[in-house]
Amino acid sequence: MWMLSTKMLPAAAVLYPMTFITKSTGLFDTHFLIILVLSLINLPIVVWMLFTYFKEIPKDIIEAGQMDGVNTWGEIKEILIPLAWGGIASTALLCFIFCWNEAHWTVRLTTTDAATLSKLIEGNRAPEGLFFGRLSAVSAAAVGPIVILGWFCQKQLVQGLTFGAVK
Amino acid sequence: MGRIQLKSVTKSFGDVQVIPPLDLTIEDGEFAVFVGPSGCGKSTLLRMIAGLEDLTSGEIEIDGTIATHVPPAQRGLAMVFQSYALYPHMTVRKNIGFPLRMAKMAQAEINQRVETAAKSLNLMEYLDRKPADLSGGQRQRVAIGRAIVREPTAFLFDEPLSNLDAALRVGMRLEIGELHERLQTTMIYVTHDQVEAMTMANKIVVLRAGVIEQVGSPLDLYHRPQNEFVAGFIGSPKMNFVTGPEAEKHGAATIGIRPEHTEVSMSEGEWKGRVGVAEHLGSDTFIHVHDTGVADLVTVRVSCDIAVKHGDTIYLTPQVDQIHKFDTQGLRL
Ligand SMILES: Nc1ncnc2c1ncn2[C@@H]1O[C@H](COP(=O)(O)OP(=O)(O)OP(=O)(O)O)[C@@H](O)[C@H]1O
Ligand SMILES: [Mg+2]
Repeated sequence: MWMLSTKMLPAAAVLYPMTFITKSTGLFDTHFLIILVLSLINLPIVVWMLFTYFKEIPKDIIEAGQMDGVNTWGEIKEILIPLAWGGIASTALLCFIFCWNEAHWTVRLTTTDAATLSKLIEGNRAPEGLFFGRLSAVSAAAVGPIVILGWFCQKQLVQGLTFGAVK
Repeated sequence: MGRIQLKSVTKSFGDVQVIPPLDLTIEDGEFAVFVGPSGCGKSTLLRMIAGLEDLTSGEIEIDGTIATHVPPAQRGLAMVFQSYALYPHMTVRKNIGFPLRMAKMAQAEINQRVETAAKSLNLMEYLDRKPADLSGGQRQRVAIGRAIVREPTAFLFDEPLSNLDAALRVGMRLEIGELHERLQTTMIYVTHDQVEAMTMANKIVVLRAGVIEQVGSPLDLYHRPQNEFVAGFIGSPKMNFVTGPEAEKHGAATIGIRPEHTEVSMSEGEWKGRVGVAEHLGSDTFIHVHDTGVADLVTVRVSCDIAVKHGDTIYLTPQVDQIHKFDTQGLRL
């Protein structure tokens, strides 16, 4: 649970220090920064989700592997990853969605070079009001990939791969 | 070869000692069965032999070499789990071949061994299916196949049949017995089903709370149980125990008499009782007799149809030469 605790800190509270640090180190508005920040904010949820999936692998199967002579790497490659595959895929997808939609940091830590879609959507807001036409177009474009990806991954997401292994 | 020797082996989980010092030798080619009530440490003992559980103290020797700290796969033993523990993402073929692939055997050799094993287990049609598409009995056969291909020095079974229905269980019991006859490999088989123990074993190890109560052949345990626990555990229906004056007549604190060793009569006999439930199995009838004055309930087994009704008066006479006598400690006299 402590892994999730960083999620509870209001992002606004660290906004100013973050902007200051990134500007002074020259990371502001770089792809590297966006990758770093997005990885870090998603890390807790990834660890937590994967932990749950790996924990569900029956102990007997892992022990059967030990009897059959797998080494540590073999155990990961031949047993753990295939069995948690559904979980890994859904975690990846969820993570992708989170990153894609993340607006708080991407809007504030980028200007043009590393701008994401969120920034683009945000850019359609002007003091005079919203450009509704462009806003809807960009939003639709932003939703598209997620919907398509989700659709293709559905099988992977739903499939419980462990079924039938143990009674 | 597959001679397994346990030397003052103990096991504790935290402060709880599950297995007090225990010595046991299983000879090469033997079919040894561990039986005992739930929680007596059968699985723990088997898992220690397999190497899946560390010993707290003591030593395990396999074929004369100390294997206490040898990792599971290098002990040359194969295990069949109660839950089958098949790899769900692999086909039957891959499942059976997995230990060989891990041992870096050539693919051609793997294929050949898998086919041989599959043929002997009637799994040829299912080689390309995944475990999820198999019945319980087929899954169990795959698990056995995965054990056979390794040509282990000994097989370890942990209640392999308890997830199967009764008819299938009898079938698989015979198949495993057949397998043992064919391979003549040491097998250690854990069960809490004394019928499985009696029918399959050369050597039965009766455990209670981590302590070996008796080791012997099935008939040994049946005819000469060393204490009351073994006497009550082996045999179905259970042996009847009688205490008090009736036992003192035979110079014992407790006497035991098996249901099949009691004569039944409607007119005369040593003990008079009232018929309770009569279970007709076709070949045999078990009659539960109340109010005999010697024990709460005496069960008798009669081989032919006998017309008794609930509440009838019945007379029982134990066969004197079949009476088991125990002292106050429950030990055989
Ligand atoms: N990992 C563990 N931690 C603590 N106690 C354990 C552990 N594994 C087993 N035990 C205890 O050890 C004792 C023996 O367990 P074991 O599983 O060997 O029994 P068993 O004879 O196989 O029973 P069953 O017939 O129900 O399978 C039990 O009292 C159990 O609670
Ligand atoms: Mg057990």
